[in-house]
Amino acid sequence: MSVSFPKVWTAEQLNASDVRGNLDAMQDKQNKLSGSDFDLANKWIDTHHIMQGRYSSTENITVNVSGVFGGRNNGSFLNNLSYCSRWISEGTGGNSRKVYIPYTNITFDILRPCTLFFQWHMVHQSQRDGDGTTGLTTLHAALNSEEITGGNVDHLVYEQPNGSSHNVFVDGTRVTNGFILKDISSQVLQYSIGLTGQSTTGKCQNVSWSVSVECFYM
Amino acid sequence: MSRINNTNPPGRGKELTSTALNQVFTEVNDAFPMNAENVRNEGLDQPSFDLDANDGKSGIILVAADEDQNNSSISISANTEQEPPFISSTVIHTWNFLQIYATNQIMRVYWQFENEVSANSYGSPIDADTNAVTWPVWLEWQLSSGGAWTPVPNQSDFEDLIQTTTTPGGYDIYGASSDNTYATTFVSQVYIHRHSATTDYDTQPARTGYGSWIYKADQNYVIYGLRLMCRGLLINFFNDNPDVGSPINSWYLVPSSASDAYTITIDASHIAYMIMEEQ
Repeated sequence: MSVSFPKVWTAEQLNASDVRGNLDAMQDKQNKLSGSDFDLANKWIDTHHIMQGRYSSTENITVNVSGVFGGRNNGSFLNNLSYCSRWISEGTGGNSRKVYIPYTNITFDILRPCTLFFQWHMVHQSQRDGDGTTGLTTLHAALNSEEITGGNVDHLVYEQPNGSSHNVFVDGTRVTNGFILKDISSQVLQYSIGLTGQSTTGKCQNVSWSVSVECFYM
Repeated sequence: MSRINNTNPPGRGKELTSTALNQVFTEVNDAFPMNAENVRNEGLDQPSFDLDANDGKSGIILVAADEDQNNSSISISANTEQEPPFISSTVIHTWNFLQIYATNQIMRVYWQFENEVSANSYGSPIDADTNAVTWPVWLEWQLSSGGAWTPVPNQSDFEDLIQTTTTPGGYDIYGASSDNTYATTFVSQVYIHRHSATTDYDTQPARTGYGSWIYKADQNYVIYGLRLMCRGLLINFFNDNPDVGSPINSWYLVPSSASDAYTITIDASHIAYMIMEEQ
């Protein structure tokens, strides 16, 4: 389809109304395009037209047009350990509260409605603390607040049995492994996702872990 | 290309001819049809893909995703039979929905469940040399409305005849080869170890199981539901004379004494799936 110009000159006198008419025809066309005005037979774009993803070394995530993807891990005894125990999660009156587990959270901007998938594994060692009870640490995924937990399955880390004579490697080492799937319908800047713990044990050290997030925009 | 190029516009102070004037307008039409030039290269960013107001399931990468929670609790006792019919496997979580799953799409299913094993005592098939005694929890799907449930591809219900005995009076072996366990979570019944010259049988406290299954559709499917199944107990072994295929590591279904009362209790469970386009 093209513009139908009302005037095609031959050898006559040029006047303003004819020029005006052709310019109006162009404007009319611009204001009302139809399907045939577009090249529908060929792809307009290819992947190289799409904005290139950016890598954030701080969070170890890539930020893309298609979404945000990444994760973090902690490898061995020689790397960072983190802890969850009653000393840090119990509040006044023995009421335990959820506390963030360091190095397990990722903060990023959610720019569009998205579907979020987060998963983790973690190896814990919870040595007996001699208090006469076998304590329990419970892990939850934290969705942008330590008080709002996601996932409906408790991830349990029991303390080494009270009175056990074994090394913690034998009967005090546990593994947790879980995930969350969630739709988020609006933009949320500085969204945080990760793990929180709640504990009645004297010591639950987190030895190695990995967390990953997949935030799909499309 | 969709850019208007005026190759010979009338010049200032020059004679205006009808040919030059007509050419200016004709060149406008040379720009049709509109194409990529009109949105400019390198101009596509998040706003260009504002496809869905509520989630990220636009169909470009992520086609579908959903989850289901089951808060009921169920206890499962170990099989006590040496030969078929074995004690049936038990449904621990049923989730019905309708989902198109097309050829070459990739399905990812994840599940997690609270569980606790127990026993009155430890006897056969568990002894000081048999550590790998487990409960399998595996994934099945339903591919017609109200129809039969079957294990997902690359998964068995652990009741395949995997070795026919060559010994008169012996028992055939039922279970699954390890290449049919892609959608299985194995939950150990006991950890056995030596401690101060004695054998200790450690029953793990309550814990959470986790599993996943990832598959690229070899055909078009319509999924009407997913469910998790459980049975036990299994022992691993190297099947050097399988009925089908090459020798392979395998799991077989063993009988246990009812008096030992090996049990697994599954509490809350959670299943999620995602269907993605292959990129």
